[in-house]
Amino acid sequence: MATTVAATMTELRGRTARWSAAALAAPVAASLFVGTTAWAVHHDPLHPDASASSSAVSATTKVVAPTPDPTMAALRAALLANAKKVDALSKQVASVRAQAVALSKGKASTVRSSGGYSSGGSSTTRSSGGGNQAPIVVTLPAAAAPPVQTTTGASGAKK
Amino acid sequence: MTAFPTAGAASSFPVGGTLLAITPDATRTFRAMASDINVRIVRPQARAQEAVALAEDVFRRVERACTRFDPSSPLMLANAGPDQWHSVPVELYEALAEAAAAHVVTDGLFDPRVLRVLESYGYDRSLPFEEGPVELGSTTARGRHSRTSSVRISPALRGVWNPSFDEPSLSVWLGSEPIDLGGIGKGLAVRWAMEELAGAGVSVLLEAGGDCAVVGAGPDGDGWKVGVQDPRDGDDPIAVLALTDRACATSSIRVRRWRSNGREVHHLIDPRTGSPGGAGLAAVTVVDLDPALAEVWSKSLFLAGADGIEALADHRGLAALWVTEDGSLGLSAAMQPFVIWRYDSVG
Repeated sequence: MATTVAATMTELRGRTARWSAAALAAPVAASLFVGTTAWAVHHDPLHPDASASSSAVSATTKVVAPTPDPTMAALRAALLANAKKVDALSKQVASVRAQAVALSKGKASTVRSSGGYSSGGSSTTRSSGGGNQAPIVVTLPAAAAPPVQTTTGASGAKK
Repeated sequence: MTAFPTAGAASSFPVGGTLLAITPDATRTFRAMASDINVRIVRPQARAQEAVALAEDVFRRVERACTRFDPSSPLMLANAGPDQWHSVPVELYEALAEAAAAHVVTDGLFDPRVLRVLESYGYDRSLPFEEGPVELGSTTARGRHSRTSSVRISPALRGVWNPSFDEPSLSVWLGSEPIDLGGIGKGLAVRWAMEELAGAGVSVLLEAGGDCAVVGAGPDGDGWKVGVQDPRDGDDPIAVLALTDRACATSSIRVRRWRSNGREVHHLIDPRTGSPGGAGLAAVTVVDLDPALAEVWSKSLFLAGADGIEALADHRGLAALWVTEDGSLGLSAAMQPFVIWRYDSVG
């Protein structure tokens, strides 16, 4: 009777202990897994301080500039220079357009040849660039006459 | 220069035939008064063909009655005895009456009595200006166009031209001098022809050797675009006008100029001097409601010369555009609303 009871009690006591241990181990294991995974996700293995321990969740990675590549540096410099040129040319285009508008409104006179007028000629606007840039000469074509339905002129003139 | 008529969907009025398919535009070209006469009708109506035939007949009748290049014309028969009464066709009668009125309105700048001056320069027949330079009465004269009459400097025409008219008998008395209606005849023909063409379509253009008249606002609805020819032989216009219910005429020495006994002359005679006038000017264009007045004033303003044209045009409220011999272009205040483009536009 006692053996049976003892055996029963032993059996019950061991099973309970295992379940209790399991109930305790499972959250710990889950926490470890989550923490490890989070640490792995946020940690650059190639980073110089990759071996340093850090908090899996709240660790802040220190950003360090990569080693300068001479080719990339040259390309970046060229890109920057070109951007500046584009900016300067854009300003010149805007200036020329403004002058063209002024000319069309009669605010400036067109170039006229000394011998009279030239209906098919062109007017020239000179716009100086900044810095060491050579002056840019922009030639504006004279506006063509609109289409006409008839003409008036010398009687008998060929048309 | 855009050729007339504008290429595209325009149809033509066949001579002596029926009007072909009614397309947006119909055109007709014929020759009269030493010029190509062009008619363009936008959306022609049913009577368009008849109207064009009547307009063409107007030109024939005016030319027949008023030409000075046919000794048997009613005008030249009257010129043969200007100090006698002559019964004339109604076209000549009305043309003379209009010329007399124009003489008064222009304070004598328009004076038909310049005929003898023109004849003294050898312009007593239709000259082939379109074929190139014409030289008369000199050792360098060319073949059939040469002439041996000597050039004389004509005196200024004295006094006011004051012809007399008897309307019931359509008779006229010209005075002491033969006359030339070249400065008004074509304008009158355009006026009378347009009276026939009015209503022939939504809009009508009539162009006659540099003079034109329009009814309506043209095919685009914003005015007929009229290019003002470059008097210095350029192919491009020097200005473009937009006209609605208006007429315009140009007096230019681009074509009708010649050498007579070595002297450069042209057909625009100043009655105040008896010699070619308009010092410093190459061409004058006038816009007016009436094509005859436009023609009269274009010639009269030309005689004002480069120094006087602006003041006269503005004083009279005339819409005038002129080009000087050195190529400068001028506009009167009244002309500016009609100009939609000029040669010095940029944009």
